[in-house]
Amino acid sequence: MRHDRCLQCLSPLNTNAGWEALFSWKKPMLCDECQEKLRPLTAPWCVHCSRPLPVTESCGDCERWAKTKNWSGLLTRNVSLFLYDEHLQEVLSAYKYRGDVELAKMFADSLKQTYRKYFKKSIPVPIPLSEERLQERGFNQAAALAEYLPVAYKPLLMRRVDEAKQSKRSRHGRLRGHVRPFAVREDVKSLTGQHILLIDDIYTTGTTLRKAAIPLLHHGAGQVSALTVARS
Amino acid sequence: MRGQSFLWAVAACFGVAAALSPHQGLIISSAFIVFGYLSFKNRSFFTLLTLVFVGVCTFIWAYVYDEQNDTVLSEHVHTIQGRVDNVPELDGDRISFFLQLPEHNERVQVSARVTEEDALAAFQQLNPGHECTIAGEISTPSSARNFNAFDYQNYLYEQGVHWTLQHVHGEDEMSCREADGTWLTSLKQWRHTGIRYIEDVFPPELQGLAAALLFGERSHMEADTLEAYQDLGIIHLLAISGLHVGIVSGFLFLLFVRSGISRERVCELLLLLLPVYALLAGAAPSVLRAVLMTCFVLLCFRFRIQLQPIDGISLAFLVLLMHDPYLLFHVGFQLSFTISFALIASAAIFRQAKRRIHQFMLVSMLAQVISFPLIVYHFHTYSLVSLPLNIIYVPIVSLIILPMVWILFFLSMLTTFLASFWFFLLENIVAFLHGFFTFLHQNGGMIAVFGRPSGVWVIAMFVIIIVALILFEKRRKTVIFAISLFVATAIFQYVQPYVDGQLRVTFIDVGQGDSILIELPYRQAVYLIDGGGTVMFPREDWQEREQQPDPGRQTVVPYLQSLGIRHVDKVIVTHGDYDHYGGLFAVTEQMDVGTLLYPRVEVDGPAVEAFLLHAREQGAELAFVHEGMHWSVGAYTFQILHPTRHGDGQTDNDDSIVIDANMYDTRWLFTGDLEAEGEQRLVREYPHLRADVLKAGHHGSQTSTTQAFVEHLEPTAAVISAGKDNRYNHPHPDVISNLEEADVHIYRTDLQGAIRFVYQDTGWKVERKVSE
Repeated sequence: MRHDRCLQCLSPLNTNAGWEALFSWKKPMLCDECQEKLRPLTAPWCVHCSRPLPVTESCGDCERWAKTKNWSGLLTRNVSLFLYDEHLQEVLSAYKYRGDVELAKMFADSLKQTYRKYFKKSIPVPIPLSEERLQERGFNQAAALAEYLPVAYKPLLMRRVDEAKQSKRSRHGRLRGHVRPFAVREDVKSLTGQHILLIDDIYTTGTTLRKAAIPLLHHGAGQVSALTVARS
Repeated sequence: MRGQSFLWAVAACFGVAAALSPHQGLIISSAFIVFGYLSFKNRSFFTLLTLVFVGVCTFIWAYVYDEQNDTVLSEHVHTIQGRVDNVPELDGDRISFFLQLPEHNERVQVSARVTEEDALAAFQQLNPGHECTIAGEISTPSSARNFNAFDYQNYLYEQGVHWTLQHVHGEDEMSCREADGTWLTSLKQWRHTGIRYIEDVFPPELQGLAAALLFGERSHMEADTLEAYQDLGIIHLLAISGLHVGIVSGFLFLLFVRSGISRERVCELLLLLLPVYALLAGAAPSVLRAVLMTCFVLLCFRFRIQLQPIDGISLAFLVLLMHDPYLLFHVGFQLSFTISFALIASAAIFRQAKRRIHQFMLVSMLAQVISFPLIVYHFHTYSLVSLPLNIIYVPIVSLIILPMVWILFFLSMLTTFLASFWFFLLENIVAFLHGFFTFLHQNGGMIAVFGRPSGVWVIAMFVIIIVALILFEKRRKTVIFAISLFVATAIFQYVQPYVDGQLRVTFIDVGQGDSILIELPYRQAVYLIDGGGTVMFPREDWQEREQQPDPGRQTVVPYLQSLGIRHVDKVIVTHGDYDHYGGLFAVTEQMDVGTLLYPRVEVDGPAVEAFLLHAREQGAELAFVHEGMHWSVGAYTFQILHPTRHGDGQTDNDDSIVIDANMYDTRWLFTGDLEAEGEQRLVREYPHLRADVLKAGHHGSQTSTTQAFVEHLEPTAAVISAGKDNRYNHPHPDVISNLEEADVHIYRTDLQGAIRFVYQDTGWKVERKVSE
């Protein structure tokens, strides 16, 4: 029988005959070992950005965002699924840079559940790539993730100018980067009061997501939240 | 194939069930639901093909197996010849064993009765493998004569037994001689010798337990103790299973490895020895499962193949089921595989428990939960002390009693002196424990009566359990909903009688005797008129059998429990004859009895008096009743017409309580053993008395059911409660012709088994257990 291997390490799946493996209609994507390496984020955490904290409250960074002029109130909340540790970094780089699109499936269940739990009725919008980057990578990693949400995503945003790769810049550099990299596509009508959910792979400082929120809010969106796979 | 043989086992399960069960349509349609689900789950069409293929193959195999299970004998046979197949069982003046016929795979159950004590010795020499020629009377085994009752005929059929032969020593010819046996018969002889050795050497209190733990032979346990084990839910400890096989093979493995044999050779040696052990231990399904699984593990270890436990158990299931498809319906087989499977599949759950003690608790609880639906389905009751009792008793058996019994068995061969001290110690431990169990049992044992659930309930319970375990495994909080659903479904079964709108009147077949159960709709009331009772004739000590027939314990109580009855509002003892009250000992002990009605006459004899006192001790309130008393529940009325205030009947029978019941405008007359004189009185004093259904007095004896009485009552139906082939030749032809002349429809328990009148919606429906 086909497809009976772990998505990540390709070892056979049937060896762990637990109740779920035997009876559930859900097909596990990962073997127990790989599944255990993923560290799901749960409370206690920062209510705004999912950063793990000793108690559930607002973290210092989010407080700073809230106090900064021009940056406050852009992002209602970000929920991340897993802690961005070495293991997840490895997985995401295989996904993003080495083009293993299938790996997105391993997040499918968690994405669906989190969407249903926190962001019901919101409109998913993946963070777009520039033309150049899309050519280079062959797919948009955020859009590939958004595919697994229970509702269809809408590509409302476009990237105006290509930035240097985020991952090669410091926090300071990122914050100071091009002020308006995103714009709402021209064919989009007004977003009166709608709840927009930005989808991306990693939340590091939250600058990109906030920058993406600006044109959406200008366009009439009621609030903008974010759902990301990893939180560093 | 890794992890896939589980699917084959599921398919085989459906295949065999479809071939052998009467509910074929239901099974085939549910098979397709399950097959469809499993192939959808695996996202593979190939899985569906495999499942259907395996299902069809096993169906054909079971069908052919069943077709070949037939007989070469007929009722004209007087003498049979064959080989003794099992260890003969001696009980009083009776010996029973199976005789294997030559040239055909068929066995006959031989039941021999001895008339002189001296002749017993000859039977004690009888051993498996002996060639015998036996004459006697051949008959088909009796099928179940009561609703929801154990079907002995079917039980024997599944063992390839189609006839029983009644042999009376001295009157019928019989000759036995030793014969050259195969290795199989010598194994059976060893087993026999072993059991006899326990009988000779072990102290009495230990014998039963030792024979059960060492040789899987339960018949030496005392009946009371065995019943307590059964009802308290610890009977599985008497079944040799994984635990025992694990200890035996572990011990042998260490022994051989220590004595310098290589591990590979040890594996091979064990592969030879374990099947021998399985046969010595009685070859019950649980032993076979455990030994097969151990053998698979050893084989894989020997040839360095990785074996998943789930594959091990699935293969053992397939092998056993193909060896004997009837096992699918065997309680022990079902429980053994269900529990072992659940434990294997729960490995991940047990890993979550950090400490040993938590793990043990989880294992015990899981075993209880997973076996609950099957226990309720087969036994209709469940003891609430089962879990704590298991948590305490399982370690005692596995760490103390079992190893000690093993050691003592061999130690006593070497030195009786050393063994005697340990015997003394163990005997006291076991006597204490057994005393405790029987005490618990006699005081109710917190036994909850659930009644016989439908198959749908059992399936629903298993689905809920599986969902709960999936959620538990994933540590989801929603598991609490699944657990609540489990509890709710269990409670639903428990209170189900209270939402059942049927009115039922059952004439229970208790052999020669009376027992009538009246259940008002929605459990408004339950009445039991008499409880049967087998009259025993005086016997010599040596003839006395341990297993006395007691229709109360064997028939009435199980029937009541199968209906979920825990409380009987009124027990009516029509009069003081043993065939009416004998079975009520068990009823008053195992049921909560409200009031016990007895005719207001002089209590006749010490035996009845003892019974009445016993009933009162068990909590029943005594009421001595006479003509003119009555009671009613809603529109259902019950009038007592007899005996008179003065109780002036000529005989004990003629003082029987007579009840005129009116239910849904149908009038019933329950007459006990009322005779002609009493009937005349009723005709005289009640000129307008009518009965739609008449319980013919005194089992259809000539002295009752007179023509005048029948003409007066104008019944449409009459029920005669008499034993099949009873020694009094009841019912009398005159009674039958009296009833036939009056155009009364006759129901007879001696011919039709139990007879049940059910009123639902608008009319009565009559069910007969045995078709004539």
